Amino acid sequence: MSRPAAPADAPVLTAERLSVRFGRHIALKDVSLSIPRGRIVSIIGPSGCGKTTLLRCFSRMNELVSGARTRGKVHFAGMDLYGPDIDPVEVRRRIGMVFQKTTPFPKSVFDNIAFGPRASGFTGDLQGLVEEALTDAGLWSEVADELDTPALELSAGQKQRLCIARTLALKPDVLLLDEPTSALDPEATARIESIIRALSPRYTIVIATYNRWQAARLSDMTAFLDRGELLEYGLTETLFTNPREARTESYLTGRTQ
Amino acid sequence: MNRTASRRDSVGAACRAAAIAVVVGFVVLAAYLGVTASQVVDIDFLRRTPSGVAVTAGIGPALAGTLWLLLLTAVLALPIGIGTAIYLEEYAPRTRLTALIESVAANLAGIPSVIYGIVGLALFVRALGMGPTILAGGCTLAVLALPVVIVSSRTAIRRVPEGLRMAAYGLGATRWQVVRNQILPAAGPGILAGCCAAFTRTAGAAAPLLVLGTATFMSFAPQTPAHPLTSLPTQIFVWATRSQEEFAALAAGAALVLLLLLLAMNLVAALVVRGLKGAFR
Amino acid sequence: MMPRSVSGAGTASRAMGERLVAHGLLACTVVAVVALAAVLAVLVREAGLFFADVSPWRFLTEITWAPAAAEPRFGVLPLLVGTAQVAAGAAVFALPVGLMTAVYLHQYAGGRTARLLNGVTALMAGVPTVVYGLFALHFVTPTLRVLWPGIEAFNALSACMVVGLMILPTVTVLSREALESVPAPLLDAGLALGAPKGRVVTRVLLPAASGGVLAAVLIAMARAVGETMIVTLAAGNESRLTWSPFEGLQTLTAFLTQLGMGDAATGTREFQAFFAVGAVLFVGTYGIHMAGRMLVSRSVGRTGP
Repeated sequence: MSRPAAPADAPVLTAERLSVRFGRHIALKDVSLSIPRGRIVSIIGPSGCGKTTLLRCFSRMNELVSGARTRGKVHFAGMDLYGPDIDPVEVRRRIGMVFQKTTPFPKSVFDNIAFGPRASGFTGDLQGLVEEALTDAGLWSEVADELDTPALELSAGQKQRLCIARTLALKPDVLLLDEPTSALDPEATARIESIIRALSPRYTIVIATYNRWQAARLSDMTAFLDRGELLEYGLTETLFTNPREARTESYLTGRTQ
Repeated sequence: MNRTASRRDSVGAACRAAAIAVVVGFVVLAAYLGVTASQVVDIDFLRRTPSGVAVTAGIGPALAGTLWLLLLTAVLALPIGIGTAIYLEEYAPRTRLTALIESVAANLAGIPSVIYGIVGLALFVRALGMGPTILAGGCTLAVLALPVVIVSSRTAIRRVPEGLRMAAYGLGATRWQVVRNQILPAAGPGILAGCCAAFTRTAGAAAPLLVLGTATFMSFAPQTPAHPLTSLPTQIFVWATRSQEEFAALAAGAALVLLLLLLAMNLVAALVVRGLKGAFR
Repeated sequence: MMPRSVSGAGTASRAMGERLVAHGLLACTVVAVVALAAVLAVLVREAGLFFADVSPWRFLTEITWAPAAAEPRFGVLPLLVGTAQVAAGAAVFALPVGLMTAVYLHQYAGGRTARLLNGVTALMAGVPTVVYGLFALHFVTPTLRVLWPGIEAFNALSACMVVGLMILPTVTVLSREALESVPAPLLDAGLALGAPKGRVVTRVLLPAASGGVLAAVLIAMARAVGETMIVTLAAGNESRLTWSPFEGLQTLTAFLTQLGMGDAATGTREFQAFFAVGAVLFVGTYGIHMAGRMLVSRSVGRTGP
């Protein structure tokens, strides 16, 4: 918690009265919040509270689920992400998302990383881009000599870093991480957390996590969601030491789960 | 101890006997075909034309007809069937209409092929004026194959893990890029296996072609789809209905050739599937 | 670092390609739906014209089927009974043998035996029915006539036996899948209680798999009802109401093949009669198939009795 914690920076992403429903189920209700540039923001809350849905709103992933309805606005650097002339494919290239379930493509390590750039018609030095992405994700030293091996043969922790590297290869402005360590052991978790920290000045990072201590360790700001509503959002330190809402406090102290 | 052992044996022994019966049934069928066919099958048999005199008869036109029918079915049913499956799974929103199309297609895959024959006669041979030609046969078999291709392709596509889809979309891939780079490679073996099943069904179909009106004595091999309809299954039928044993032997010979053709088709498909899976891992 | 545009002009040509593909795939779907709808439309139209002329009541109750006669008679009962006889006869042969083979494959067979049996069933499933028909007429019937000289050259028994052989792979494969969906712990629990294997099979395995097995039976029956070439070749093609398995008969499907051999002109009642029979066959097999598929989807994921 030693980083300078007052985000005077301009917001890069702003949600404005965002609501999402899947059929009759309301997943998000009137959520408004701003993500400051270059910071790490955690979204915490009990499972099913809408963390993942909120994350997916930022990269327009929810519309791929049939029956999903989104209302409200998301501003990305002044543009309305849900505006009529916005291409969701381009949004996903600028705002990269790493999913909770690690899903390497059944291809080589290299082809996994190169997938995004190739999809967007990248014509530059692909080799260099792949190396850079793998280096940033802390995987290069482990796979440098075996870029041709199938990605499915990597360990669980390596797979997760591969998925992060794959998204970094898009050079996104924002990195969305959904439960990045939920399936990992403490050692692999620690590695991922140190990588996230290292990425932090260059990328704006939003993490959805069920692990409140991870939020406390990593993030500058924390949002607490409960049953689709944003109950509290502020500097991580403030939220954890002096929560405004009783429900936040009881969640943080573990009295409800 | 002994009594329980003997009781276990009785169920097991009955099941074993049933399994042996299946194998015996198959062996008798295979032996009948092999022995009977061996009287007539040689290289010339593949070239000669049907004739009223059994010793000079062959399956040249019928074999050519079946190959034409397979080609037409492939050209017509595969792109449309696979394209439909991709559209319904990856593009169309899930609505009652798509659910209805899926259920109707699945059930149409199970109705008797002879029904496609009478519809093909009314539609292709008469209403569209194609006459009893190879083209009309190909169109009818394509409609017969269509539900099978659609249903098996959809099943294969649906088995692709949702995570792969989402990961690809999340990396900014367009819909078609997701389909081409993730879905089709992963679903490819299943789609191919389904298409192969559809082809086995159509290549062996005699009933619908009989209904369309099939040429029984053709003295030349069909050169274009506009030629009169002839095929191996219908030739087998025509020969089988003759009471003389020589013609039954000809039918068995044609059946053996048809079976080898189907077997070769399935083997090639199995090899390709294995190759695809290998490349994919 | 300003974010690059998310609505940039570079996306225009790619969006064009995407739209092209999407429209192409939609076109495939439209063609497929039109083709399948046309099948239904032709069937409904011609059958409708027939029933406008011949009352469904007469169709279902009269006992003579002679559509091409000078004085045509349209009683479908002989065809229905013939179809039911063949299906029931085939079931007598195929259901016990197929189900027991599935149990053998699932519970008793070792790896190599299982591979052999699976190979045999796969080969049998791939044999065209006209080849089975040839086998019925030129091998099974002569063999039966050696045993019972009184049997007619065209008889129901031979057709039933070979249709049974033809649907055996369907029964075996689908029943085996049903058995495989029964969770292994359920069987282990039975065995751990000291029950002999045969008892676990009859008291635990088969009841737990009953839904799927019933579905296998239904789908196999739909195939037997729809079987055309075997009955056309082996049972003759003459409609008569008879219960004797030693005489010939005509089924719904076998009658339909005669459309290609006769010269019923479009628009005549005789022509429409084929579609009326086709519609009956369609409704029957479609219904059986749908029931079977519903049973399969309901029994999948069901854990035990």
